[in-house]
Amino acid sequence: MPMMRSQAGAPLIDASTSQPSESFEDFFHECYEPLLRALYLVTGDSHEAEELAQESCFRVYERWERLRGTANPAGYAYRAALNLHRSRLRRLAVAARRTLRKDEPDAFRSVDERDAIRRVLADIPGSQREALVLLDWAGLSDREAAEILGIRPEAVRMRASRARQRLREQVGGRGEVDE
Amino acid sequence: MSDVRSVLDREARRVSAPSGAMEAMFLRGRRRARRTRVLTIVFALTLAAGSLAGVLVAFSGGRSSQPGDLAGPTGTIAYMQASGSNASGVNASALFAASVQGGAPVGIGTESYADYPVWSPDGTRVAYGAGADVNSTSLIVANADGSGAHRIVDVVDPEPLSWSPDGKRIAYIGNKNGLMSAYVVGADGSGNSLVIEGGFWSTVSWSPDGEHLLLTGNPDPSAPAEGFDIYTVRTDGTDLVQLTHGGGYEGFATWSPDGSRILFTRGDEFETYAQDVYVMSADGSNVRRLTSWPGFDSFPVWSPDGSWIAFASDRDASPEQRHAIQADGAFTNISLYVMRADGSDVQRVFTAGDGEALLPGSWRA
Repeated sequence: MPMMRSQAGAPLIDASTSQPSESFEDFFHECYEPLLRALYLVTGDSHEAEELAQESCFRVYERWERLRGTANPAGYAYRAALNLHRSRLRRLAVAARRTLRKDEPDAFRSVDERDAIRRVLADIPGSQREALVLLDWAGLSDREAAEILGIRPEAVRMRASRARQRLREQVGGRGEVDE
Repeated sequence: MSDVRSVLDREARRVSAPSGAMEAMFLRGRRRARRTRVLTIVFALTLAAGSLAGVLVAFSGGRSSQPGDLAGPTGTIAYMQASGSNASGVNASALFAASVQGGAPVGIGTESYADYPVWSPDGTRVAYGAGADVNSTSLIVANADGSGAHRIVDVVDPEPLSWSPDGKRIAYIGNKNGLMSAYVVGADGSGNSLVIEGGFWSTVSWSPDGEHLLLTGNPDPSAPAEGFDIYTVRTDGTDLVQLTHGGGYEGFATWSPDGSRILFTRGDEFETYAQDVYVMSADGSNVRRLTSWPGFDSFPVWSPDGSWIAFASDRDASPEQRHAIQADGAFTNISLYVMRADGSDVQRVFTAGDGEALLPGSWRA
């Protein structure tokens, strides 16, 4: 599996086991910012993204001896962050908290109305945003994104396609995205 | 697509890793450990104070939960009622117990967040998760009327619980290091131990013979499988057996009281609200769909004799309310229903109001 690079230029998912990060510090400096940015695109909340990125990286740190060289630390960090994010939205707590959060909507929904891009992202369902970010921003393949999200590759493509279409329809009308 | 990418990248660059990010990460990790210790002490003191004052709170009539007209099922259902955020925005929910034949719901516990009440096998105790908020919770055991509540173990975001048939141990799903793993702890708080690490285990149920746990989820932490399935595992963590291979997302799997059948939910996607209730033989064969509702049918629990099933559904919500549930995740007007074990004779027993979800956790005689 090739090294994945975000548009920011840093490796988001370094799945190569031939060149593992030498130290946790190397891993952190290479992966933290792309992870933070990807989580920001998924959650729409810079504070939430920072909390998730820090928490997931700390968990990588706690397991560094186990993860180094034998696995994909960035992939683990991303999965841990998404699991943390999802676990807050799940099962009966899903029901309870989503009920309770009726007045505490998706962070993207409370953005400045003057901000066109963020407003469009606010209207894209979270699951579609995840797929879009992993495919179109992080540059993962549909199979790699499917492994992280725990769904089928075709489901990843479908979700990303829907998100992409909506993004193009909404932002394209303003001349910011080509058809 | 490249233009989509550039738009996303422009948005992503609104955030950057500040200098000192690594130090901030370590600080957060250490604070988490400290906070856990402090909350343990505070919560224990809160419980002690609550016990002295008489923890049980009786709600005369209930705000909107009204028993319906039933002929058939009997017993008492413990359920969770989502109730709204407090002024500081901390999530809150409450537990109640009520007879399916009528009568006032009785509140269990006084914590601002409580979830998933499960009766002990003899019906004399109830286990549930509770705390100041969902991220600072403990597994609690109390008498059936809610009195004598005491902390068993700290569990962040406790999952559905299950008692051993002899009432001496409790299985639960714990969130640790980003992994949802299955644990067993003594009902007196002793011997807390990992049974099987996640992956992403979602629910757990103890077999009537006491030898196995029934799990839903995904066992592989490094390469998530497609969908969640149902598994059995011995209580010592060995002999993991996959029972379903459907490609969907199974959840809330529980054995029938006689151990011959398994009740569960299935949805096509993760966190989807279009779930239905299914039953199958204990070996995974003879899968039968009990409900076919395009919306939310979930949280199924058996009646004590296995002849009825309670579940939560949005089937009587208005189209606008169901749209809000599906599109925005706004759980509202999700009421509590019962049906016979073959899926017939569906009856609403407790009616949720606007902004409420009534979610069954357990049913005792």
